[in-house]
Amino acid sequence: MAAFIFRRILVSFLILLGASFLIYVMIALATDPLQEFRESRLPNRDQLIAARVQALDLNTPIPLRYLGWLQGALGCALPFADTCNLGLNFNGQQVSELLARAVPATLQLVTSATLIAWIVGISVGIVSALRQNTGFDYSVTFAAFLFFSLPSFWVAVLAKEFIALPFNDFLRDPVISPLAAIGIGAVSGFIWSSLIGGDRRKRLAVFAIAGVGTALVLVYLAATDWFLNPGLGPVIVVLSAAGIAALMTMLLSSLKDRKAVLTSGITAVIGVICYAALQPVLDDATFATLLLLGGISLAIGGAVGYLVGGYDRGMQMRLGAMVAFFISLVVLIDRFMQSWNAYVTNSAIRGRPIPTIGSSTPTIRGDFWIQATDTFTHLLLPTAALVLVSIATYSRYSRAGMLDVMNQDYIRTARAKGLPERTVIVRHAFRNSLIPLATIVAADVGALLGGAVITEQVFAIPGMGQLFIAALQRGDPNPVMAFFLVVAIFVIVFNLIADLSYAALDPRVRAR
Amino acid sequence: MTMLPEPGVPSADPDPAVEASKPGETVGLSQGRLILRRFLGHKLALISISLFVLVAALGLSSIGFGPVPGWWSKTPNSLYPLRDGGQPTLSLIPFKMGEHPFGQDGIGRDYFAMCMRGIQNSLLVIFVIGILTTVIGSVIGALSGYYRGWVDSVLMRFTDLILVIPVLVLAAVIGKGLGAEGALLLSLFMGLVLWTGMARLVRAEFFSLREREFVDAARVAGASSLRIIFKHIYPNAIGVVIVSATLLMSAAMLLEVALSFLGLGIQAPDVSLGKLISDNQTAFNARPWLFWWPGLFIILIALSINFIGDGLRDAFDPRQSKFNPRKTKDPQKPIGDVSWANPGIGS
Repeated sequence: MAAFIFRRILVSFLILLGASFLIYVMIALATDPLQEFRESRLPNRDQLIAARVQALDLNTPIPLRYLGWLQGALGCALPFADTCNLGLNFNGQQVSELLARAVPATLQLVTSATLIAWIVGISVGIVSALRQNTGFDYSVTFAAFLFFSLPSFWVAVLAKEFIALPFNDFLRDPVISPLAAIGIGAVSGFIWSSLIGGDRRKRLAVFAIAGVGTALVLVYLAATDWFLNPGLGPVIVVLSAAGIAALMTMLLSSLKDRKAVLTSGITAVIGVICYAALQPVLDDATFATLLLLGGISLAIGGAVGYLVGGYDRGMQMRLGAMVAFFISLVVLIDRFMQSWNAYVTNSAIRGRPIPTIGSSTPTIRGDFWIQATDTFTHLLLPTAALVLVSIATYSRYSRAGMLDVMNQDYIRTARAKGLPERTVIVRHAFRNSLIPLATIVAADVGALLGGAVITEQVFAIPGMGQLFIAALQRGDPNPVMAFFLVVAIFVIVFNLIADLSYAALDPRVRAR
Repeated sequence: MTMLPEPGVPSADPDPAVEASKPGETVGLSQGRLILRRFLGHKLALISISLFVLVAALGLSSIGFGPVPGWWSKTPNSLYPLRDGGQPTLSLIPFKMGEHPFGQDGIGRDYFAMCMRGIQNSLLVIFVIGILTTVIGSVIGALSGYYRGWVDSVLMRFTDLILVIPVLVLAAVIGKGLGAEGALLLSLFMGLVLWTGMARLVRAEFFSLREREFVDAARVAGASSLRIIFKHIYPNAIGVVIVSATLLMSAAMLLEVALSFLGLGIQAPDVSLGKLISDNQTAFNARPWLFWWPGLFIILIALSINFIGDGLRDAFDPRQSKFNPRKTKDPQKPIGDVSWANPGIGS
């Protein structure tokens, strides 16, 4: 295994070398670093040209110039040596510093887009496979084709106009008209009924319950000014903790399994107690505290599962950890909601919380929760515009994978030995259908980073993509090379991870 | 995907087992006929084809192309007096085009003529890139998959080398250098770097096909390697090639409009649908129609091509149809329909 990884890294390094040479030559041929002086009438024009030729070493042949760049770039491979030199841009700034400043915004965008695309794409794909040839399946298929055909920049501009502005206007006076409540209720009823499926009577019942429920909740929320002062409150937190415990037990085992009920019940109770006890800690939390608390909650859930034990201790531990994770998520959402009003009324926001440009409000002051909310609201629209294509891809692949798996013999075996359909799907089909996705998800990272270039441009996010486009338009080679280098390394690393995880997940590949 | 049941032309070694295993199909039709019939049964694909032909005919005939004159009197780059704030004059009931059906932009150019020019450029990009990537990708994939060994190593390392550079970066650098030279040169050079996904698909297809009996038969009969590759194996891989070429075409078009939106594609005075959007996005509130028309045509073209691709895939690969419940048990095959993916072009 070690030899395999070593060989892969060596080959990747050689490919990276070749690709960097190729792109260096292409940039040198495609751009003209002197273009801004060509038509200039400045008195010191010749001097400026000479200075730039000197700075970029333009009189050296391209391959030799590449070697110079490579020497500097190889310095970046040594950690902590401070020998990293990606050259200077036209204004004489170190590109490595510019890059360091630009990476976080892009990374935030791409990470959130990846997470959302995984969750939404895979779950939609799986459900549409399980509801094959129904209205839901056809709608999802059509939506996937539509998402593939939408130019992301067009969607981004539309999202600004038709989501951000109306939502901000809505918050100024959060009243939901009866007509809107009925409309949203009908849509939600339709979605739920097609998701749950069943015969006509069951679907009608689901439609009615979900539709009326949604409409009533909306009217109630609007009447109590919930949109200005959102929050879950202890009652909802307790109820959702119970709901999560029940749902997870049903998914992983069944409600008849005493041990599983015990595990999730104990975990849920501990979660609710922690929710009540930890509020002061959460009030002055930092990112590190949250990570720590998340880790602790996972550990507690696992420990509960371990102590309850039973014939399937691993499953109990997973169950406990999952219940703990989702309850922590609810607590986190609740805490964010408590800060929402303070955020919206903040003097830097002034009641218009969904921004259309930038990656953060520069003048905002406040605790961790305000800052984090600010980041999230800035990420909302760019992420939505970026994930459409990925969601379409993942939903198609997970649907195909699930259909493939559901036709396998071991699924028939599982059914034949009397397992409930839920267990067959969750424990036998779902996991195996995820294996091939590992490759696609990794290959998608390059596409996402490319898509981020466009999204960053539309939403004026100061990330790597903007650095790249601005430099390319000016004909400035070094920032373009730096962007390429970062993206290519990401692509290579993720492909390596994909290969390794494929081998780890699928024993058939390893055996070869 | 590696289990594609004999797509391709009838001359190329039809497999009797597959013929016999389709009880639902009429006996006596050639493979090509069967595929055509299945495709014609795909309603959405037929609608898409008509839509695509309609849009293409509109784009080509209206303002004319090259020396051919069109029926629309206005040209994309002439200025006309602004009427009514540039409002569109198109009305559907009763149908009448009016003076400026899609309105006018801020300085009075006829937006209909500009959009038609943009459609023409998109069509050019679609076909040039589609043909070029298919040819290059097929040849490299075929050689690599057939000869294996060091030929495969060299060609595939070369493919990896290009594959590691994100498509948008490659295309942006090319667009920066050649955007001003016109759509033809731009798409020619983009075609030279976008073939990697196609090459990998064809290679995978060849890997499994070259082990089949009909290849041995051809070799024993004394056929040369090139003849085996292009006369015997390639026709059997044509299904995967056509489907992914279709999907690649729509991706290529979206790539070009994205580049032009970023200012790195087709340059003024030429027109691209993406450039129209980027030029007019700030005027969204004053003249929203300037934003809607190009977007509408982009979606129309891309969506119809994608649906045509879907129809072709169903026609070439009827594995999931009711009459043919054969299953795949090939552990090497990662997923059901890989050929559905856009080969190598992300947005």
